[in-house]
Amino acid sequence: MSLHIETEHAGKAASITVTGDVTIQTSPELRNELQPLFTSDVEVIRVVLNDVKFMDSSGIATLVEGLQWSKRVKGRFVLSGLSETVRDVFELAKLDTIFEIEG
Amino acid sequence: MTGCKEGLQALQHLADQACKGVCLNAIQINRIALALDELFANIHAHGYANQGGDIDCSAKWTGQEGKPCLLEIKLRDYAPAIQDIKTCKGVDPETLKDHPVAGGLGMHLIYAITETFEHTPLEDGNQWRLVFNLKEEDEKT
Repeated sequence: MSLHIETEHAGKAASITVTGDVTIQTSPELRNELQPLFTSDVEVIRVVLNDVKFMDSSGIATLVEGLQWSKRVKGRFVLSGLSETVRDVFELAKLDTIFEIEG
Repeated sequence: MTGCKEGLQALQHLADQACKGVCLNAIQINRIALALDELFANIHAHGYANQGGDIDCSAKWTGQEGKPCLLEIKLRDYAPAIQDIKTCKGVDPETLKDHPVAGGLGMHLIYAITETFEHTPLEDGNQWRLVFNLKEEDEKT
């Protein structure tokens, strides 16, 4: 399943809406979308995952890069709209308390 | 099955189909698919160095009335045998809070999901045995 990604900017905030499965095959697409933001002047990155039903460790690793960015620049990297199954993966990985998760 | 990206898609589809109709909930199905996805991806990337190779897969239900319902899945690859599985433990999530690193979570997820995860080095490859305790998972979810 391919990934569909839409990015919107509002001032110093960027919102990335992801649709599809985030796997070792598709996570490079998400990474390519996130990378430019890490070197831009945005202060908040929100990743909207309402329409992501499956995410493997490569997807999580991509999001960990966002976590690294937020620590480096004192920005906010927010995950939003996690499905039941994706939230479960974050809990299994013990990352649900490390990421800022809303919704 | 071929250990390549297309093979991974086929494996995910197989797991999805196998789980349908046996009254597993969405989280149980996702966990089984995830564990297989992670192991398959590791074999493809590390065992076969992204060049592809054969992976045999078999599955069986075990357990009796009143006992846990166990799903045993075996994968067998023909990649160079790994002698010490401890070298493949992956990252410790406890350390991620202060030192977030990308990568190394796959093996941790497999251990977290499975009741039993065993590796046997063979003369011409590796055998991987994963056991899922679905009754216990059902109680968790």
